[in-house]
Amino acid sequence: MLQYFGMLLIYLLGSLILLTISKKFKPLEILAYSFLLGIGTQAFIMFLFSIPNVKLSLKSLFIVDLIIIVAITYFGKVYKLFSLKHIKQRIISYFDLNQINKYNLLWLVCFGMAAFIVFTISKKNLFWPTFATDSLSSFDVFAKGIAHEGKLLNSLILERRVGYGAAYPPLYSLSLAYALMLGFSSSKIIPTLFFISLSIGLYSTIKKITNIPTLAIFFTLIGIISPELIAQSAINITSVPQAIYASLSVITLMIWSKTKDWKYFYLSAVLMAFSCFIRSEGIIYLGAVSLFLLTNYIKTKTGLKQRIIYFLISIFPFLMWQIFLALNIEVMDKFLQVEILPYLNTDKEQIVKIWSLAFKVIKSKEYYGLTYPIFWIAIFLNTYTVIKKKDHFWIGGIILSVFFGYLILINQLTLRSDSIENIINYSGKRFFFGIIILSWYYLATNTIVIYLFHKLESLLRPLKKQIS
Amino acid sequence: MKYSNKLAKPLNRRQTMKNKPKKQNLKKNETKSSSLFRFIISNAITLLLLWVLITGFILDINGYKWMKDKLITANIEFMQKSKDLNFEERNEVKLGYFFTYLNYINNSTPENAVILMPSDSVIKSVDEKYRLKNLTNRAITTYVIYPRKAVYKKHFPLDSALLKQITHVAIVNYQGYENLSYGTLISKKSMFAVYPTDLSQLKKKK
Repeated sequence: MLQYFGMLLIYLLGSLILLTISKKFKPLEILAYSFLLGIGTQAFIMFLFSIPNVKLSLKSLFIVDLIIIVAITYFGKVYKLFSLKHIKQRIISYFDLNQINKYNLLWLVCFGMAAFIVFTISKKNLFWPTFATDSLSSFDVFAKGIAHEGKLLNSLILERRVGYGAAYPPLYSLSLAYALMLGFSSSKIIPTLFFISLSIGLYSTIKKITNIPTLAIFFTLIGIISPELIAQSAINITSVPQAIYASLSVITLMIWSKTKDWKYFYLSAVLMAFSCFIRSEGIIYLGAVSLFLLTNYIKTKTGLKQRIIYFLISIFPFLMWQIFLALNIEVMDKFLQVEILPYLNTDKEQIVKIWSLAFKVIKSKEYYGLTYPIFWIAIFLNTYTVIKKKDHFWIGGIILSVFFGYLILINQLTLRSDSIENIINYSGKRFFFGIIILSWYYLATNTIVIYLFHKLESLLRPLKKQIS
Repeated sequence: MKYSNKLAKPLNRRQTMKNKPKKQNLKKNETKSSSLFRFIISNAITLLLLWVLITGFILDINGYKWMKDKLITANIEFMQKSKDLNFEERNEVKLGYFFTYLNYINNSTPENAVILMPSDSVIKSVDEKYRLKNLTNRAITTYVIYPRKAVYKKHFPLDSALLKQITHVAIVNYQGYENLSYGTLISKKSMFAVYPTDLSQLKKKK
């Protein structure tokens, strides 16, 4: 009972934050982002408890959550949404017959397959306890320590009974700790809910931009079955959740760029903040996105204040974590796996080595299936749109910037206990999950693909009224 | 003329009124059947194309094939076959005898136990079928036995304080009895066991 309550509280917290950003988010979007925002916020609250070394307990967490929920509901005027008139309007608009007309047999089949895959992966996730080495030695054992002792700097840290993952930004370990504090026998409910959020999030964003449900469900299905992405969704590590935060942040920013709907802009900022608070490499995505925002500002000369707010929101939790590490450097230093060179590494031999290893990984069909050729097809199809309409350039630009950003970062690393070859060969496949999700979104929202699916959808309509 | 003119118009109108719906109905029926036919054919062709795309192309690619055969099908079959396994047994399937042994330690020691673990060479001397490799990893061992503490002599600088507080000794591959003050008194030696350092604790337990 407590477990259900605790998880519902996360969804409630997340949905209220989302509705504070804007009351116009659709039910599907609320379902997709509630968990992501809720668990990120809960982890950040737990982290704030840790700064003055206050002991965490479920009771204190619930009290803080309830205070936040009441404050958001009152000051964010979210209570207005609970009026009978508003609920009635929402229900009427949700069951709009013109929209139902857009669903067809192909949508139903693809939805069936996607639902079956999500269900199976979730079932597998919940059936098996944690067994991935990185989680056993780092994230999950650290979570056990936090849940049992109520502190981030617990005996496992002080006696070094945990792996290098303890120095990662703590969103994931704190989320797992929350699940364990609620009394779950395994913390794997967390990766399960992350994967479900990805599936709904990808579908809702593609549908939002194309308004073609068949296209959205088809590309969601193909996107989530990228082999290594789906395999690692069923184990308990940070890479997939980080990719989910980062990719959905970029996608919602692209929606803002196209629709100028500011709610997606601020949602993107919060998602980016959590992306940097789960793995430090979120900074690569923030760098690419900042470049986009800067260029966009130079072009439009409007919204400087909002762009600065975006950057501050995105970097804030990451900066807090860096300050926490610096303040506790004596204890945390032994968990820092890498050092970053303060100057540009121009070792040609290493650059060539990194490039060839990373290229081998990204091209692998065993890891990413069709994603690599699909990305180039998307680039080719988009060339016309980019040249003629000066549109759809940045999503491709961000994907490439992130890929090269990773290569530059790896080139700048001095490893304490591993080699560059091992990092790319064994961990490299996890670096590119965000790019994989973005590549499928990139293809799905291409003008030619939208046109083809538009035609297909009109062919498959069960009712007489056809769109040309 | 006037009369006929007056009559003719309404008649024509009536005629058209009567004729028109008939023609429209005919057209409507034709459109209905043709659009129904088009609907059925287009859906059938699209689903056929989807089936060809998935089975003939996508699932032929190694990564997707692995996902279908190993990640989805094999897991469904295993989960159906083993739905009665409890949490400990599922851990044993994934982690091998490493988990079984440490779970036995959990059941045999108090939560504040400080346990001296065997050396890496002793662990590596055990047959690989036991999958004990993780026992050499301090963090992974801690994952299973926490809040109990595992102490390794190889981590001497880290564990030096704890070496004096050891409450139990882990026995692996008949090794470790030498760390017990009463080790020589134990006549029946086991391959895997855990003993308290204090003989009186053992007597109490018995």
